[in-house]
Amino acid sequence: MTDDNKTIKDEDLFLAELEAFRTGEDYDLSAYEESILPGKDRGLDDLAQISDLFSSTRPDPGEISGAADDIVLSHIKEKSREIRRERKVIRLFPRHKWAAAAVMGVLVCIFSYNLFFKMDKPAGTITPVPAKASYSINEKKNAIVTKAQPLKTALVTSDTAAGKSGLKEIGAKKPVNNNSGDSAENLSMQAAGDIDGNGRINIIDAYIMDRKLISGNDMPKKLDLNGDGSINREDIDTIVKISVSLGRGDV
Amino acid sequence: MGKLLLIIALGLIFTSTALAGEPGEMDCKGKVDFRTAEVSVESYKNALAAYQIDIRYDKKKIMIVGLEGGSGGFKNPPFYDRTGLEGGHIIIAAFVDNDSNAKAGKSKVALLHLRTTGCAPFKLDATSTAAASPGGTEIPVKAVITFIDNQSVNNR
Repeated sequence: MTDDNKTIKDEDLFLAELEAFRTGEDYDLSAYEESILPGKDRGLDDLAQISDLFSSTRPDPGEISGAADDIVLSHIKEKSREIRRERKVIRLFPRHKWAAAAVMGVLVCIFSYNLFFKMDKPAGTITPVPAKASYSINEKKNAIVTKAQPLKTALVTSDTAAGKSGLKEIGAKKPVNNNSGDSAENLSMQAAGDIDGNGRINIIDAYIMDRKLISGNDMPKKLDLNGDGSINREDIDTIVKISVSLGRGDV
Repeated sequence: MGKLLLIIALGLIFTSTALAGEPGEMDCKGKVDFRTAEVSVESYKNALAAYQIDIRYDKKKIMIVGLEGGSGGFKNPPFYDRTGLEGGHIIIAAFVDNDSNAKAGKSKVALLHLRTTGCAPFKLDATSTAAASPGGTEIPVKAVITFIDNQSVNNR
């Protein structure tokens, strides 16, 4: 019997003696020892047996096979590769929210581009612009003499030029100053065509002359732009030609 | 794994949007359309008796194949220079025969029949260079060109 067991036994005996003293009864120590102490010994024996059982079933580290090692190593390597891949993705897209925002931004840009630049829309919307330009054409070179050009350099086109350019429904039958260049006659005709006196020949001049012709008012001879001796629709057509004519170099 | 799917999804989105956003580049290359564009002039509170509009366009993509009058006092075709039909620049002009036909507000003054080649946009820039109310007084106006329909011809 160990010292611990002996101490427990002494304590138990002491407690039994105290109890007997308190109650005034005699006590039988032998019965106590037979009922309590053997149970404690059996518990210790059971623990010892369980310990032996675990010891016998636990494998010796030296007994693990190489195949098991390979399986474990391959598993570890696979996990390591997954971790490395995840880290690469994280480097590209550190935060999913930012990635989603970038995608949305790109989509919005593409949608906006398609919406505003891929549609057919009104081709020209121009702010109000008062009439400011008129066009004249050089007879010989068929080159445009245009916007803000001083009248002294603007020339009147001929029917030949008009025929090439295909002016519509003008109806001029006679050549207009075919033999002239920068002559004073041309310049005076040009000046005469500027009926409203704004320094430009345009459709407004033709319109004003048309109204004067319709009203039957007397008109100055200088409005006989084609020089046929009378002021008629052909003179209006001459102004219209000048207004809409294009030079080759201007196209 | 989720991030890998995100990358794949991004790739699919970019590819699909690129293809969807540029259908014209592949489909409209060499495609010929015939379109009609309306030329109108906004003269606000003034009656419009005469106008002159300078039109510029991309001659590589647009050719004017026809030119009609508009409505009201501008039913007759406007005056123009034939070289402007396919040269990228044309000037059209007209005036009313009778001042009673001059109307305020928006006037439809001409119709352009266009042959377009290739991909949109087909742009025509219109600038009013002269406009007058009855009596010949110059007035401010706004010229607008609007496509109203088109008919496609696959000519690839």
